[in-house]
Amino acid sequence: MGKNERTARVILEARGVRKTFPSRSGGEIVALENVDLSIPEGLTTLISGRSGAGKSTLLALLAGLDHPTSGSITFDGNALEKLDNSELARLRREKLGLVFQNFQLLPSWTAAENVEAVLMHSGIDRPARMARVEKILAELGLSGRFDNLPGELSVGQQQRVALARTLVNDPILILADEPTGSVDPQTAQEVIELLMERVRERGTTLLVATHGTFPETLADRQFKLAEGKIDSLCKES
Amino acid sequence: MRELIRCAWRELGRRKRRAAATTAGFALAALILFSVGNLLCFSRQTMSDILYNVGTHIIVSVPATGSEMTSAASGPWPIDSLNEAFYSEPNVVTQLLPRALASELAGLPAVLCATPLMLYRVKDSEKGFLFSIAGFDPKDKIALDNNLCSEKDIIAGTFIRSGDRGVAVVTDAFSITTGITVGSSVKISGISFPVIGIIKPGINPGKADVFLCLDDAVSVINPRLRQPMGDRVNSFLVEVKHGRQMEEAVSQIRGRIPDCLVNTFFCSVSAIRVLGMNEGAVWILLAIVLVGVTLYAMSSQWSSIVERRRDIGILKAIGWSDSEVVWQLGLESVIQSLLGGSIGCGLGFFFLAIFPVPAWISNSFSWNGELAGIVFLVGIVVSLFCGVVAGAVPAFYSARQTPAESIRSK
Ligand SMILES: Nc1ncnc2c1ncn2[C@@H]1O[C@H](COP(=O)(O)OP(=O)(O)OP(=O)(O)O)[C@@H](O)[C@H]1O
Ligand SMILES: [Mg+2]
Repeated sequence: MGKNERTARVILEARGVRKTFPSRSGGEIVALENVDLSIPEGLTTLISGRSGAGKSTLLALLAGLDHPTSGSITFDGNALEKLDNSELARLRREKLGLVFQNFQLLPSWTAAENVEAVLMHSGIDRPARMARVEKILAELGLSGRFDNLPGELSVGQQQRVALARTLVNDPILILADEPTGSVDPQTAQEVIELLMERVRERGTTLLVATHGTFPETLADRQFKLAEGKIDSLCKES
Repeated sequence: MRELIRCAWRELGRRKRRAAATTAGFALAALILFSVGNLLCFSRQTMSDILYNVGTHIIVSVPATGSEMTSAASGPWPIDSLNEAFYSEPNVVTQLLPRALASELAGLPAVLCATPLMLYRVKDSEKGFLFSIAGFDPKDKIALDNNLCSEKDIIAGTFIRSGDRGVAVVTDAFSITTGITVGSSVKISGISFPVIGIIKPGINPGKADVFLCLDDAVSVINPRLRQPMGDRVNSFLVEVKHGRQMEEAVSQIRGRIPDCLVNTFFCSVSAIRVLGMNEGAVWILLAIVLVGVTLYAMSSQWSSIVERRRDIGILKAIGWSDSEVVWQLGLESVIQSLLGGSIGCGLGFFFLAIFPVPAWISNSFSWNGELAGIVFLVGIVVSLFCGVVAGAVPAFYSARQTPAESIRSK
C-alpha cells in the first residue's frame, strides 16, 4: 500500500484536548481527557470505543461544532480556537464533510433540499447547484427520490441522502460518526462501499468513529478511545 | 440575498398554518392601523371644522382711562355717568373709536371681516332699571353671525334687515323681565321702537338686551351725552379667517390698536384639548395593538425556532454562518409582516372604498387619496418594523447556541 509509506502531511491534529460538561448535580462530567491525535492526509483512521467513550464529543470538537475546555485543534493549518464562528462555518462548508450518528437530515426539507443546503451560501448559482445535487444523488442510487421528505424514505435511503450531503462539497476531510450504526448489515455494507469508493477516488482523508460496526480492515490506522482517553494506537499499517 | 428570501419563503410554506396565523395577525394590526389612521385624519378635518366654527369671533374695544371718566365735563360722555356708559364687557367702560377703523381691521391679513358695534347701557327714564342697547349694521351678516346675533337666533317674529329703521329686537330674557313682546315697543330717549322679533342669542362676545340698527342707536344715545359722539362707535366685531389664525389675528389687531381689549370665547382651546385627548387615547390604543401583534408574532416565531433548534444546529454544522441563520429566520418574520401589512392595508382601502364611513358621517368630508396612500405606506412600514423586531430577537437567540448543543437537542 504505497500511500502509507510516504510520511503524509498531518491534516488534523489535536493537542491536549479536554472537554468537560457541567453536570446537573453541580460537578462536571469529563468527556475527553488529554487527547492527542494526528490524522495524516489521505488515510482512513478509525476511532473505536464503547458507548459513552466520548467519540461523538471528540468529532464535534474536531469539526468545530463545539469548543474544547482546554487544548487546541488544528485543521488544515488553521488553529480552530483562533477562528470566529463565521470562519468556522466557512471551513466546514468548504473543506469538511460530516456524517452524523443519526443522519441528522432536516425533516421538512426534501432529499434534494437537504443536500443543496450545503451549497446554499457557497456562491454557486442555483442551476449549477442543482446539477451537482442531482448528480450526487443519482450516483448514490436516489434518482427518483429528489422530492421526497426524509420521512418518506427508507432508513438506508436516508443514510444515502446524508452521505450525499457529506460528499456534495468535495470535502478534503470526512468525519463520520457511526456511519452505519442504524442500518441493517446489508445496507451498512452498501453504504460503506459507496463511501470508500469516493474516498479512494479522491484521496479524501477519512476519520470514522465507531463502536464496532465499521470493518476494521478498511482502516489504515486505528485508535481506541476509552473513558475519554486515547487508549492505544492499535493499528499502524 | 435572493437565496435567503427563497429559502425563507420555502420555510414558511412548510409551516403554512403557523405562517398564515402570524400573517393574519399582522394583517389585522395593519387593518386597524389603516382604519384608525384614516379616522384620525378625518377627526383632524372635523376638528378644523369645529375650530372654524367656534374659534374665530372677536370683539375689540379700548377701555376708558380713569381720567376720561372723571373729567367727563366735556366730550361725548353720558350725562348720567353714574348709571350709563359705553361698555364692551358688561363691566368694562370703553372709549369711542372712529367707525372707519372697521374697514382697516377688515383689511388685516388674518381677518375675514369686521363691523362697527355700539354698546351702551341706559337707565330707563320711567322705571329706573338699567338695560343695554346694541347698535349694529345689519348688512354685515358674517361679522355679526356668531359675534352678536343673527337671523338664526330668532325665536319669535323677524330679525332686523339691512335698510330697516325704527324697529327693535329684544332678547328673550329682556322680554320676560319687562313683559315686552313682539307687537309692543321699547321706549328709549322718548322714541318708541316697535319690537319685531325676540332672539335667544346664546353666548356671544357681544351682549345686549335691545338691538337697534346703528343709526337708530346713535340717535337715541346722542341726547344722553354731554356732546354728540359723531362718527364714532365703541367696539368692533371681528371674524377671523380660520381658528388656527386666532393668535395671529389678535396680534395684528393689537398692532393696529395698541391699547385694545380683545375678547373672544376661547372655547376653541378646550375643544382642541378635548379632541386632542381623544386622539391621544387612540394613539395609545394603537400602540397597544402594535405591541400585542409584535409579541404575538415574536412568540409564534419563537416557537417555530425552538421547534427547529436541531435543524438550525444542522444547518450550522454543514456550513451556514450565524448571520446566514439570523437572516433566514429574520426574513421569515419580515416576509410575514410585509405580506400581512399589505393585506391589511389593502383590505382597509377596499372597505373604505365600499363603505365610505367618513363621507356618511360628514358631508364636508372629501376623500383624500394621497393621504390614504401615505397611511397605507405607514401601515406597511410599521408592520415591517414590528416584523423585524419580532424576528430579530429569536433569531439572535438561536444563533448564539453552538451547533453541537442544538444537534443534541431533540
Ligand atoms: N452536552 C452534554 N452534556 C453533558 N454530558 C455530555 C454532553 N455531551 C456528552 N456528554 C457526556 O460525555 C460522554 C461522552 O459522550 P459521547 O456522546 O461523546 O459518547 P459516544 O462515544 O459518542 O457514545 P455512543 O457510541 O453511544 O454514541 C458521555 O458520558 C455523555 O454523557
Ligand atoms: Mg456517539
